[in-house]
Amino acid sequence: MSLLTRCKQFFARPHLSLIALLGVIVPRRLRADWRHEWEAELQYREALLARWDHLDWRNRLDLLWRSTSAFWDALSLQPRRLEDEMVQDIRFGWRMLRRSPVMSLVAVISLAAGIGANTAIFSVINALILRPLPYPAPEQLVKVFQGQLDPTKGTLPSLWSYPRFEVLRDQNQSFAAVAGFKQNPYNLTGTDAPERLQIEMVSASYFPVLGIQASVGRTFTADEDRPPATNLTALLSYGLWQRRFGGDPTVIGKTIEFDKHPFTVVGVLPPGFRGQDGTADGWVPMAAAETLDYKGKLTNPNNYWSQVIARLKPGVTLAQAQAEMPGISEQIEQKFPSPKQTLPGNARIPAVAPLQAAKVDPAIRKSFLILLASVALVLLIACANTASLLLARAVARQREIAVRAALGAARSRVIRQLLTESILLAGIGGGLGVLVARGGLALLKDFKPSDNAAFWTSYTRTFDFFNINLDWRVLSFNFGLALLTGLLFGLFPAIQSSFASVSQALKEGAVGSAAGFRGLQKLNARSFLVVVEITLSLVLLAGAGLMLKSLARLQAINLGFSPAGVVTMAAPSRAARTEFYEQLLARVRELPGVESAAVGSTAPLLGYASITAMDIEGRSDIGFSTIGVHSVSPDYFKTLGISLRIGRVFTERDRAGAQRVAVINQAAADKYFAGESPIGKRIKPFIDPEYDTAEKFVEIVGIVDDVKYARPEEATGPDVYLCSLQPTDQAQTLILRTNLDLSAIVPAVRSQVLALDHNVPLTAIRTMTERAAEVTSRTRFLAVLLTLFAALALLLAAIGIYGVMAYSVSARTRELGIRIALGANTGDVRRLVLGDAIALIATGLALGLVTAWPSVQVLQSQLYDISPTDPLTLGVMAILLAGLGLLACYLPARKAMRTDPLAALRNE
Amino acid sequence: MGKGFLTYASAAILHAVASGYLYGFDIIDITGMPGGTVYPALRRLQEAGYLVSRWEKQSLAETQPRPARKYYDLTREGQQVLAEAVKRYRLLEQTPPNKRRNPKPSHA
Repeated sequence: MSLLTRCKQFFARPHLSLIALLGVIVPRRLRADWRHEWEAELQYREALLARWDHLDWRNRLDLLWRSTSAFWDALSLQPRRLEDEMVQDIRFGWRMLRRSPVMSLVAVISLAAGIGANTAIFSVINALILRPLPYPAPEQLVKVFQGQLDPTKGTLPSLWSYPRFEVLRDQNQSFAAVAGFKQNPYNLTGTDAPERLQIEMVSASYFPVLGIQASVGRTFTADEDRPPATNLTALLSYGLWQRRFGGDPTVIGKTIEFDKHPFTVVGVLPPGFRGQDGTADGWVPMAAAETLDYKGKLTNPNNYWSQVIARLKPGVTLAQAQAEMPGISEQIEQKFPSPKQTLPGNARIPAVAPLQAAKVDPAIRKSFLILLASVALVLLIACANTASLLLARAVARQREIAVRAALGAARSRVIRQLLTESILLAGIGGGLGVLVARGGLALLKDFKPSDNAAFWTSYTRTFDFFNINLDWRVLSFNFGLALLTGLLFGLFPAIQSSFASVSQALKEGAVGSAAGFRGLQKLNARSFLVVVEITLSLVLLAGAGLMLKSLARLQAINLGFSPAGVVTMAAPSRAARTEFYEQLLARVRELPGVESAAVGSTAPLLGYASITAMDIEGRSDIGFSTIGVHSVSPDYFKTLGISLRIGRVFTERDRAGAQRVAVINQAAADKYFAGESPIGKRIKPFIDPEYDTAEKFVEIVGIVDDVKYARPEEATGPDVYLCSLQPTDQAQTLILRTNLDLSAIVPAVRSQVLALDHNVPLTAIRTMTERAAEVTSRTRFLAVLLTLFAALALLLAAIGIYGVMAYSVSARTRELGIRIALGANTGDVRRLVLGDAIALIATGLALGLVTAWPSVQVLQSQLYDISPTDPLTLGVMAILLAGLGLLACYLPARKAMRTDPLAALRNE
Repeated sequence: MGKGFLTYASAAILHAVASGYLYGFDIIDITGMPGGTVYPALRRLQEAGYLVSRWEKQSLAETQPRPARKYYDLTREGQQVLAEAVKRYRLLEQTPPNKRRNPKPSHA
């Protein structure tokens, strides 16, 4: 019947069609009766009023109105469903599950693990990718990068200089508002307990762009953000307001100090808002940059320091905004020509990207997508396993099903009964899966990949791990998955079983020979499932193996210093001079348990303090070159255990007024002084701001080992060390070598710091061992989780193999008995049984290798120093899987070898 | 549904049935209550044992081209609770005049 005719019929007498439609939700047992009554009433009424065709619209409407009442009637009948077939099916299914508790338990546990792991990983993906940003109209929010993708690094240059930002802000047509922001730490001073606060420096437009309003007071006005700033204002985070000011609303109008500069508090932001990094304690206008930081920060067009977000005007698309950017770039270039060695032409055109996409590092996002794929594989294996268990049970239930069929049950009815059972299993698994997911999330939170924010500057990180939870989206995913799983593993066995031949099954005894024949057919289906399990397990194992090997190689990287026993902490103060740190070092060195102490502008693995351009005296051939600059005290190398290669390190005599000296690392020596000795050569790193010294050049006096300051897996770049006793950058990171615990050493150091200056806090306290573990955390995170999933897969596969072999042996008891009776020895029996198993495992492994080879390519970007098709890893994993598979066969094989021919034949 | 206590709606429906309005739609018409109230109430009253339902004689329905209707009748218990309810809900007595207590033949 065509759709059109159906439609015509439906509307010809809509009141009757509606009854037919509503009948669907009436419990099946009552349906016919119910429909009959309603149709009779309506038709009677229709007849009473004359035929439908002759009815006027008022009567038609009345009939239609009456028929809609049937909806409420149908609803009121819903509780009667308890007597419905479906409920019967569920009750019966429950009884069947309880009758074979071991099988049900294995199935439920493996499903709960599979579904739970999927839910946990999905909830992270949900928070990471799916959940919209917590701002009004989040789709209008974009991040504006200062240039195009850097092909060498694969990252977008995100930092803007203030004058360039001003051109974008004032000249664009696409954005409703443009805002700049940059988070820096400053000290809360003028109190008895100084504290290092994370302050986000923002333009006045920042809050309107995001659509955030102050919960107390107000946000910044345009005047407050107009340089030069005279009256500095500040906003507090809700947490800081509660913690330091007891939630007192009269804080508005009060003056607080950041680095000893006074700021007037004008507002408090709503709870939960912590800026773009998710860690800000307070906000100041960008106009305060020159007061808090240094002169020229707001006027130098080549000093890049702030990131930019914007809100699109309503109706303007991302593509339209992007199309405007070449023009903006042109205007910026005209006003502030780029220095010749920086970005070339097209690379300078700003890139516009959705803020949603920019909020998570693509590497992190990718790790989680890989994890989701892996847990999906685990779930597939759990499904295959459960299907296999159900098939095994279907053999035992053959007679029951045959009897049902004999008594007139339709095939569809049998399939429905069996499917109800499998969905019931999956439902219980899904319910437990929620608990597994909750536990898994708690683990993930403890174990999250952490990293130093210095590495992530190009990505705003509103994303907070503690925001990950089981919301409605995750829960519906969980139960949808459970339903799907139930269908997936239930359908195949159900259809298989429904073919039960009545005469065959009823004729035979429970374990007769013909049942064995049927059993073999089922065994083939189960063998297929086992092969699938082995195949998928090998894919997971290969991934886990690669990640573990990668992690091992990452941890084996020579860091260039010895992390054990090293503690770093920051004693930051912009006002403090070199003398302060010299005095502090002298005091700290005297503390019991401190072997050695030094200061540096940064410390290994904590990121670079600055990378600048450099000149070499008398050389014009090197062009634009950069070098990492470190300002360190004389004991720095000794404290960190960095080896000297040639020349000398700094001494107490390298002070202001003496010859300015430098130590470079081997990478710098190789890069800039290949084939000659750098000792005695003079170089000039551009340090910003430049220090008040006539002598800009420093003389190289020594070469030290390469030290990892950024990610260990990245090649070490050229570094230069300047002596902190001479005019240079500030060195405010305290580095101690000590045999004491943190809890013992920190209070002692803190009291020394406060004794010298009560405005200097002691923050960022960490051991180098901790930090060394942290920098490999992303790889470790992926490696450990993949290993966990692979282990789960391995266990499930082993259970699967064991189940099939055990079943096969018991189904062949009689055959084996006859063979033994006819003179087969244990070796023959073993060969017979294991031969089957080996064939299964070998097929699985072969398919697995073919599948794993392309699949693990997705890991490429996550691996360090190992190819995704590393044959050794794949080989080792295949052997591991084969070994475990054979082990799973051992028990059934042993049982087969011990078959007592008499007992086996008597069984008949 | 507690024994011996009827809501006004239930009592009105019992009253209508007792008065000879035996079909769902007739009850709707005479009580003025919406079908969404009347039908569920009929099901509940039937379950409580105050009403029984029967199908109209097929031969009767076949005189017109329409299916047989279902009609409701009071049980003895139903009559008792209705008698009690009428004492409480005085308003009920003012409603419809008594009708014949038989399946109403259709007359369209």
